[in-house]
Amino acid sequence: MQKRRIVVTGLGYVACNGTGKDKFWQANVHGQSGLDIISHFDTEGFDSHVAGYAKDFDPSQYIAAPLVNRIDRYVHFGLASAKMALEDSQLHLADEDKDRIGVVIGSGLGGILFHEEQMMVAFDKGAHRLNPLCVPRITPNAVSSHIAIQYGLLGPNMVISTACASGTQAIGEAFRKIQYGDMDICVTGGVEAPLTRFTYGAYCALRVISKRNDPPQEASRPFDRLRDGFVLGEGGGVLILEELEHALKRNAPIYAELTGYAGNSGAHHMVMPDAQGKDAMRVMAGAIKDAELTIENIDYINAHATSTTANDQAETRAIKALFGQQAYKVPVSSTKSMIGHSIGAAGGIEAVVCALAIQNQFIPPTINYKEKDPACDLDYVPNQGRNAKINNILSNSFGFGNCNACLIFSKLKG
Amino acid sequence: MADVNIEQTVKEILAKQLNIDVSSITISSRLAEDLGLDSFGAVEIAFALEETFGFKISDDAIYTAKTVQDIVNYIATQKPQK
Repeated sequence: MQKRRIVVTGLGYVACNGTGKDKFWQANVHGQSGLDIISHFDTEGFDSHVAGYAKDFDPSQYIAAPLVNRIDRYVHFGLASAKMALEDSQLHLADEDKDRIGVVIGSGLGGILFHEEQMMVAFDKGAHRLNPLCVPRITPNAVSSHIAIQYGLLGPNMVISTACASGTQAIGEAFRKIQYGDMDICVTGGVEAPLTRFTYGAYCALRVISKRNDPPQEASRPFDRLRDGFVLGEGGGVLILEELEHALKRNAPIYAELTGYAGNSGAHHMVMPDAQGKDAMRVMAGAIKDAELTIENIDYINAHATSTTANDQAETRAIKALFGQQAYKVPVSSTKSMIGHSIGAAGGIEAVVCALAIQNQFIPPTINYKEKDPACDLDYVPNQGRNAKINNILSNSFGFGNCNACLIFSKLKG
Repeated sequence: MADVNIEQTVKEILAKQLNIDVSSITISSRLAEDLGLDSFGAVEIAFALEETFGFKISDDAIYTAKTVQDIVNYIATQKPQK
């Protein structure tokens, strides 16, 4: 069976260094950090005080009342990113067969902010005084449902939850469903709103969060020798994926072609990656093979690169194991150096970066790179982005629980 | 005759939940047709009324109320006497 080809025709984005495609791309090009000291809740008692909070995001610009007050922050990110992406794609939904349009979104945590607020109510007033919308607000699939309801999209609808790989995995599964004819168009990506006292505290308790509070913009420093953990971020990144013929027929704007996807498990540990990065190596190889490419064809790797000691070393080892000597020739950079790690949103946001990198033929930098770690010796595009000829990008996501997913974005052949 | 304070409080609760101006709500406003209250809105209103007036609103009352007047009457008759 001839697989159908899929292209990216719309982008939507919310994060701490800019909401909207253009603002965000400028921040990426210029290596601007969006990290700051947390001020929207009290961090007294924590060793870490830094996060990537989307402070310029106003949900009421994208979502009408009274809905805006009835949904959790992670759904705000989903509806806003989906609206931007659909507008960007220039799709006229009224003319489309809505049975053929689906929604597949990644979220590691769902409506955890409202969950936390309502747990406080349960303890203060009793569980008989819980808000009547607890169930529809907290459920992790609220985001895909709300996007479908908003636009009347009747195709496959789901949320995929594989921790830090959720967004990438959602895009990959959407890609497969279009390839195999389950739908023609999909609103897909990742969203997350983990900057709540409980969730921030939970990640701090796991001892994976950077304690480098001063200056906060330098806390996330993937591959740098002095990195000490990741910075929790939030936001959303949504793509419109569309079957190639459908996109060509309506003369759609095309950013890139999505050509490969693979997912696997390390089956090793809930938090630690395999030190040799064997599972990471296998999943990268799987995605490259799925795209019918070889390692020589990869022009840039958008790394998972969280800024933890374990991840950045394991990912570097995996790249070296797979690419051999070629590893030293492929630029590798980290979006998380600028916006931190937004868990389920990360893969969606990084997919937006990949699509824009192909369109602009530009590789964004890894910022805050100051001292070389002997265990991390690749070309990390330190501190300064660069123009480059980019035909194929490998985008990595390696989640807690060893859930791994990789995508290949390619320049559309003319 | 329903209490004026009950009427004002009910209108304020509706205005807040529906994100509309309190002056646009009258005693004869129809909840669904005029104010756009859906089933989620109805359970939210019931919850807010319970929080404010301190007694349980029955499922029946919230699903059969058609107008602001119906809610006000229900509160006035069910409200525990001091």
